[in-house]
Amino acid sequence: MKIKKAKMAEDPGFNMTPMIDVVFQLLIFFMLVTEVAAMEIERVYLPIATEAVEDDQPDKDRLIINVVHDEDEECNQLKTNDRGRIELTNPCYIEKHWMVRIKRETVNMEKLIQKLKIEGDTDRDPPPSSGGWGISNRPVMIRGDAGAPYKFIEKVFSACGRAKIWKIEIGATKPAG
Amino acid sequence: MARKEKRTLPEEKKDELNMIPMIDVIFQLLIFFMLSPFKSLEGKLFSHLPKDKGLESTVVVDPIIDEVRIQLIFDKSIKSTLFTRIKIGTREFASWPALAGELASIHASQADAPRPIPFKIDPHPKVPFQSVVHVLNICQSLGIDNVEFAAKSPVTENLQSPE
Repeated sequence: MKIKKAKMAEDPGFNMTPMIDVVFQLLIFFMLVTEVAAMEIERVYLPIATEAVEDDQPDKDRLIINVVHDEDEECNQLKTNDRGRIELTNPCYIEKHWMVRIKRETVNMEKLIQKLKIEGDTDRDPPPSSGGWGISNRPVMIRGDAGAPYKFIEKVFSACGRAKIWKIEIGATKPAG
Repeated sequence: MARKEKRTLPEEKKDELNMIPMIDVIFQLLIFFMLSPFKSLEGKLFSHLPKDKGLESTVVVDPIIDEVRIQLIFDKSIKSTLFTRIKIGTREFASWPALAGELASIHASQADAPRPIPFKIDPHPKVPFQSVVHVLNICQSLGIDNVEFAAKSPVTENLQSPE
């Protein structure tokens, strides 16, 4: 009599592929999100400059000051472009539409100077009474909107001057193509 | 008589389209391109303030007479240069390349000067920031590094106060 061989149970195995996929997804997501958060970047339509150097190795202590248009404010100068992004078409001169922000906090002039002085103190030369200049070597990057009236940028420059911060970088974008 | 062998065809595998890897890859790309614009093309221009003067816009005791003052005047009627009239002294420039030409010749004439003449950018408060960056950009392209900004007396007004 022929005895049927018992069907061997299929080896269920352990499919690693989906796990690897998910791990890669998470890895890329957190890599990019962490970097964005660390750079304190806000959406700013930076001015275009052909001579802008790549900001590939920024100083870890660099402070970023954003001069941005409040997108919640209704403004005739804000238009949606071909790519569906909101951008300034003409300079906007309405003062309350503009904000100076550090680490996602809107600051006024007094607070800006105060913050810059505190940040500047972390790397400051000896004061004049001790033979130094009392200037701070803490770098600051100003990321101003291309359409921002200069007076807002000037105020940030002035605040840096009053905090005796001299290492200033201006955020700019290279022309596409 | 030969016994007819029963032939059975191997079970055909169904050709299914496995969508999972494609979806995985699309999600990877989606996340990457959603987040990468924050980094792309962004750069910087150096604009170091002078260490030994002008940090607090103090009264100038010993003024430097010789300077190249680039005035950027707000003019709503000029669209080609972003509402900006460009002047050095009494000379006016109709375009950024024209300004670049003038700055290049001034810079070249200063090559052997013992004390380099500072280039001072003096923008009107209403001039768009892009115009100021244009001038900085021209200066950097020409190798001019002694660029200063004209400043008012120490600022006391609030950033958000009405005009």
